[in-house]
Amino acid sequence: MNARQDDLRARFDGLLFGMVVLLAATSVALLYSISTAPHEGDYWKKQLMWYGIGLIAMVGVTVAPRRFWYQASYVLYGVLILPLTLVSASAKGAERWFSLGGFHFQPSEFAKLGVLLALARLFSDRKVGLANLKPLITPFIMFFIPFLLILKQPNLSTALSLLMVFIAMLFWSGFSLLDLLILASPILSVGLSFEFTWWAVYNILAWFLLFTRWRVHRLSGKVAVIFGLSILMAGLASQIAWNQVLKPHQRSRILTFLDPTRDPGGAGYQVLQSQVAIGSGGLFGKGFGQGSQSNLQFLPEEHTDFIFAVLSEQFGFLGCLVVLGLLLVFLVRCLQMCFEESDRFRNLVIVGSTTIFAFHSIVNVAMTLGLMPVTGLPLPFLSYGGSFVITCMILVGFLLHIRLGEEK
Amino acid sequence: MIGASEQSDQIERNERTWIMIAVLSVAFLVLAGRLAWLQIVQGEMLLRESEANRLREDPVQAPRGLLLDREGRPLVQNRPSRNLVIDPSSVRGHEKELVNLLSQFFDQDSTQLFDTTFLKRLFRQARLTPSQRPVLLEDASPMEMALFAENQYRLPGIIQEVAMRREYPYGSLAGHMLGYTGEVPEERLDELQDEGYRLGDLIGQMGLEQEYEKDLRGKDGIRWIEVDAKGRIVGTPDDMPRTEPVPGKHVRTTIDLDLQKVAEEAFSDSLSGAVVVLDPRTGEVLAMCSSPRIDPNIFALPGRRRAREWAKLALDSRRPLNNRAIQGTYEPGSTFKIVTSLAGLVTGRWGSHAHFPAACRGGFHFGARYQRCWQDKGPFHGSLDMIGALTQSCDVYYYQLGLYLDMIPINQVGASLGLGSRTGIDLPNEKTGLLVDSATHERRNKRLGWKWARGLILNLSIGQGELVTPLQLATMVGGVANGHNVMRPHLMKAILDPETNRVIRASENNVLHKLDWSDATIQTIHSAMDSVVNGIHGTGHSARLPGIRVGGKTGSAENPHGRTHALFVCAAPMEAPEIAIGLIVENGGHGGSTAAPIAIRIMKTYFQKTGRLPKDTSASMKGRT
Repeated sequence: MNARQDDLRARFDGLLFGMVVLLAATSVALLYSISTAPHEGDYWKKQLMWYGIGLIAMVGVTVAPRRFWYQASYVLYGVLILPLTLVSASAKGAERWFSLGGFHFQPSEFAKLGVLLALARLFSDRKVGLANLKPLITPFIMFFIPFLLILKQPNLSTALSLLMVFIAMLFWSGFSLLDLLILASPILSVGLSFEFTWWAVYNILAWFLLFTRWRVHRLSGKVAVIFGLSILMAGLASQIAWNQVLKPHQRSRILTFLDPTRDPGGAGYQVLQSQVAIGSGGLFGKGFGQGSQSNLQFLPEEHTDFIFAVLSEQFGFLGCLVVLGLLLVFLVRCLQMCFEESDRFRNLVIVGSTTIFAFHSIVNVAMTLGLMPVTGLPLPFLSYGGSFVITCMILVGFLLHIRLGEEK
Repeated sequence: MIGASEQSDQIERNERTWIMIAVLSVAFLVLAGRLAWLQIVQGEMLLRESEANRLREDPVQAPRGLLLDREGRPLVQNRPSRNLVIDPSSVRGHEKELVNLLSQFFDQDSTQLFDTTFLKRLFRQARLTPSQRPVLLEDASPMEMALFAENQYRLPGIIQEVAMRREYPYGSLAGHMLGYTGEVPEERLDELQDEGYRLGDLIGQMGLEQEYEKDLRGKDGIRWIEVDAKGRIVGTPDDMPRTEPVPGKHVRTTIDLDLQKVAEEAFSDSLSGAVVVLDPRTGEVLAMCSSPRIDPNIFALPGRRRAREWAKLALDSRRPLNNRAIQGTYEPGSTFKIVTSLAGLVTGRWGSHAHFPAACRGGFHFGARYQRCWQDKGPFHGSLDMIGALTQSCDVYYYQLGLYLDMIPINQVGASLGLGSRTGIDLPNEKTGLLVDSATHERRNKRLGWKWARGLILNLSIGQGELVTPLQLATMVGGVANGHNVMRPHLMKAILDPETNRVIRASENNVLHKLDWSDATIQTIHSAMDSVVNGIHGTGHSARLPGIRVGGKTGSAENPHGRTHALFVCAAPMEAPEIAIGLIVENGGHGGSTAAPIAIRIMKTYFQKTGRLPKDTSASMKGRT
């Protein structure tokens, strides 16, 4: 009995959980620091509650039987995707929330979990690459249904994070970097089509690459032609769409999304005020609860998407480095498990979960710092939000579960 | 076999894990780099920006300096007034109820206090610019304040503010001279912004209020207030420096309140015209009054009533906004004969005892023209010397003197007495007046093609054709009485420190022109002026003041629009003049009968005040005039 307890203790990942506890504590403290501002009062209490619920969920996930998540993955996929279809059917497709007993849930957050498990199970029995497309068909369909449903909501950022999970799993189960590059090539073509010379050079390079892949690496000729043509078409289509289909105000909206400084009073206001808040923190910050930008509501969405700016204003560069450090240690610790785990399904779950954490962290902080368009992606563990906190804790549960079930 | 493939598989997967860790690390490094850029390199700049976000300047009104009379009695003062203003942050959300409630407020004559459109506009303004507090009710009366106090619990966000308001305790007394203050006109805001004026600030717009704006105006203090993103006032940060307001300086004027009061009383409000009283020894203006009056208090009234009163003034055909003392130009009439006489004496070309060949028989033949004397019905003036001619104001004598001298020496004397150019008094918009000789006549009438003719001298030498202001008349008669110096008239005696009343800057008595007249000349003209008042035939006998030797000259200026303007200039005591008066009553008829009695009332008060005349009842004075 004692031996088993010691065994359990040894296999419980204290470092991982410790990071989570520190980040959660930071989150509650930051939400408390802005509680003096009107309408921001109760978030820290509610966040504590979400973490309580999340903790219970995490423990539940952790202590589940060893093969449980592998076996339940397809069922969970179905169960978690279902609300998405309901939501998109109900409110003209522009609804992200799902009400249940007075609480509002974001089904897209939980759908991620289902997709993650299902894809991990699918990829666990096959090695994939661009050379052979047949084994990709099922995973692609299983990814694409929730992806489109979420995109339709519209929730671009969550859809993109799902896409990242898919790509990371493709990479882990056999895609080379070059394969991924070919996969992304039509999108690059869209971006470059606005400068004809570059686009032409890019086309020649891409075709040459596809040709060599076809000759040397047995890439099927059909696939090579499909990608070659799609590169060409993507460029042409984007030009036609831009110049013929889109109206000036739509073009302007896209440009403003990409570069918010075009509209400093409207869309650019958040980014501008966020950068002011961050910069004004300086090296050491203004002190706990002393952030004028956040207290006087110059920072919009401060408790959710711009929580990092709240942190930066109060604790300065050093505080930010500490939190970024915590996040990085957490992420590296997650990936580190891959070295010790040989089971493909478990590895894929680790990679998928880590991708969700990493994508959210990097995009959110980059957006807050004005490096990326504002997409409304919350920062893991720090941003306020019930659905997301619980999702994150469940993901942590998966990781702890894997760790716990490791064979000696 | 299987083990080996699994092993290579594991190695490949480890490689991929490393790649992912590397990608993560690079991404985090980029984030840290950007963070360093924002927080360390640009940190200070962005900190300033965040301070600019939350802090706003809130001016603290500096009290405006006072205008005092020469003895320190206030002619203009400040009085606290209560404004009811809207605090935008606390009315948000229940604007509708407040509009409803406020539109049901009535004043004592049961007219609506605020109309609904006005209220709606005000509340919209409050919503759009929440950092400013729109004024609901300016200068609320005690009644109105009581009404609000009763209903305060129903009116959240309607608060009182205390503001200083200009008050003119004597009403229209010296109104033109004191001037008034008004909000900075929008079209001048650009140029005045450099001097620290903001929209809604008060600025002197006439008279001394305008002239001494720089001294009277203090420097508003600055208080910092903290606002939130919506511009609502959150509080006052204690860590920000606060600049205290610097009160404006007081201006002690040369005005004698007692004399000014008498001048205002004597110059009935039903008359138009102006009177200027000054001290010929220093140029200090002791009283200045222009009629019809204006009461500067109306410019301190709340908005709509102010506009109404102002329109009344602006549209009045008597043009009450004109300060006639410095802006009204009139023909000097017979008062100019002093100048003509002096021209003969000063040039040495015409002695005081000389007689002209043509005696006055009611008129004068010049070529084919026959020019009348004012006394053309007999008894005629006959042949007069200079003193006799001035005493009886004989036109025929002056026609001949003018023709004999020509206009140039006459105008030289006129100019040396301050006519034809601005005296330089410290009031804005003074008029120059006009002296006419052949050159100026032809220049002025070039468009009409009129040429100079000697016949014009006839009119000009008796003061018809020139233009003078009442101030110039007083300056002239003061100079003549003084005999040695023409002093520049001025109104500022000293600028005082508002806290200690210490003199910061005292005005100097400037000599406008030095007169190098011989004693004989001075004596002659003095006895001529004396004779005008005290002589048997004097036209100004109604200006006699027993015990004081008053000298003066009457005049009546032709006026194409009706009765002649009555003029009177005088000075006293002639042996050592201390007071000089220039006076014009529009359409007053003869100077001796209308203007002189007013002047003499002022004189009397002056000498009673200085103790040289016994106080007496006004009834006996009325009997004399």
